[in-house]
Amino acid sequence: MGSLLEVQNVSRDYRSYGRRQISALREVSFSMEKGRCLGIVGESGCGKSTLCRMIAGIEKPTAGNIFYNQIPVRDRSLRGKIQMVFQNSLDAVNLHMDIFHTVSEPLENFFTMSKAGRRAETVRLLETVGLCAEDLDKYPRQLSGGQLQRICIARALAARPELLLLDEPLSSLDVTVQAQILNLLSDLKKELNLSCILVSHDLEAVYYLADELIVMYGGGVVEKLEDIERFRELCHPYTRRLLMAHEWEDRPDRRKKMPDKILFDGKKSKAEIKSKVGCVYAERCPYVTAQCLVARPELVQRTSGHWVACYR
Amino acid sequence: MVKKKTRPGWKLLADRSVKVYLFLLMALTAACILAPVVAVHDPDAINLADKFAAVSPAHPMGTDYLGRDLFARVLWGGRNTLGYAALITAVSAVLGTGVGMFCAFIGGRVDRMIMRGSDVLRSFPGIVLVMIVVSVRGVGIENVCLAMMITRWIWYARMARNLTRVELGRSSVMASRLAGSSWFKILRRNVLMSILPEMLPTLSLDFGGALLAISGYSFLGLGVLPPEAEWGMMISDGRSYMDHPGMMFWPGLCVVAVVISVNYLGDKIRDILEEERL
Repeated sequence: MGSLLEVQNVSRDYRSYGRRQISALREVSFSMEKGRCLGIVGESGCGKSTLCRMIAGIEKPTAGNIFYNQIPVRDRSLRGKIQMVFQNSLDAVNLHMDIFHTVSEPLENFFTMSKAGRRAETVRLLETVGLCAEDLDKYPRQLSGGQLQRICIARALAARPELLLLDEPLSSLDVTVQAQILNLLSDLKKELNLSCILVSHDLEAVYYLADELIVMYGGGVVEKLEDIERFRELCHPYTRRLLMAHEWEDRPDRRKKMPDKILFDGKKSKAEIKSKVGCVYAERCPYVTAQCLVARPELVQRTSGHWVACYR
Repeated sequence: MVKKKTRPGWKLLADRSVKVYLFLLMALTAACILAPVVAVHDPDAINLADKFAAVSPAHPMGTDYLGRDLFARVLWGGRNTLGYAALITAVSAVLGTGVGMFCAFIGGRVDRMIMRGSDVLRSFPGIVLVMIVVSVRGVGIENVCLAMMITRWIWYARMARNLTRVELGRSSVMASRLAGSSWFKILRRNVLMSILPEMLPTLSLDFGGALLAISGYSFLGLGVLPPEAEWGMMISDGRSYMDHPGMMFWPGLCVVAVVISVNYLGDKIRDILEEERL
């Protein structure tokens, strides 16, 4: 024990009206130490955001438990300790509230401060994220996407969190702004000694910021690596494919060597994958065997600090 | 929060026709409120010697078939017409918005039950409901008001419910939750502040509708009872004396002026909000 965050066999099912049940997450477990940054990568719809919301305590898992310092995350005593930065910054702010009120919302609720004190603290927070006091009275629509994402980070920091969840903080930004935000996050991590979880589909961003890595596919963890510097050892077919998508420009020939076996052909095959017993990646895996189709591979330790869920 | 409201507000006032209509509406309302001061004559004082008097300095709008001063009656009638229309609109808007937000927030079975119930109420034509209430509780403006409120809050409830559902689905609500705000505070600050401007045009249009309906019911003799003045009833009275069109003209003009003004303002507000959203 002793780890900061403990995720134990967490599953989440969604049941939508008139449709069948979809499991967004199945039996995900991992733990995380204090002061570390965990990167979670995976494609859209693999359950990353769901996991994030559950760690933040906004959503209840269907099964399983999440503990923060041995306290369940939905406990009231943890209010404010876990903060989250959302994917779409324009969606994550109240458009009818000015920046001062947006950023100082946690200050209002968690600390007793005079209005002047809140204002001073808000200015300090804005400066921490690279904005200035003049933006205080602006409205969200008057700011750019990058500035708004900084606002969201400032708001998250206002609660003085111990764990910061970053749910695709870069997805709605262009590349140069992405780099700025990444630098900001990396500085903040060092300065405030934050533990953080970075959810992304961008391996490069994760490599830049994270200390350890979890790769998710179809609602489950397929690979786990405790030291991101050893990323060359990553060996799950899905992870290899993700890595290759990045290296493709350097080595165009490798794309041909490992194509997707079958691409998703609409909803049907996706639903099949979610409900069947075998490996979640079997449908697309080029190395699929008979065993992969009947039994799901467990997450097995390959070398110290490196787990893979694959029979190969 | 207050600042935001003024920005589209100034944009609204920059439009010249908006200024004209707003001025018209405010002048009329002010005159009606100040009726005891502005109108020198008693609206109910009968003076048969002076019936059907022409427009003159003593009677700016002439007199009716009982020699009552039309100017005084229009102003006193306006107090009834505008006042009851405002009351109905305000009560149904507040009630409807509250119920709608509650439904969207609670969701599930309660939401479905209340919404189906409101569908049933809505399936009655307004006039039929007014007839029923009036036949049960007797003729009188308060019963007409009651019946109108019963049907009108539903529109607000449906609108508020749908807008609230959209608003609650935004991650800003989750962010506020994480920031430690209570649901009550979120409903007030995030949801209400966002749906209020969206509902404003409906409110304005609905006020015009309520005014027309009150005048209509009084015209039919269901609402305000004589001798009290009310625009719709005054028009109804004037019907019998077509050769003296003043009796119908002045209250009719007021109804038209108010309805056109509020409809125009409602449309303009919606236009500006639509621009804002782009």
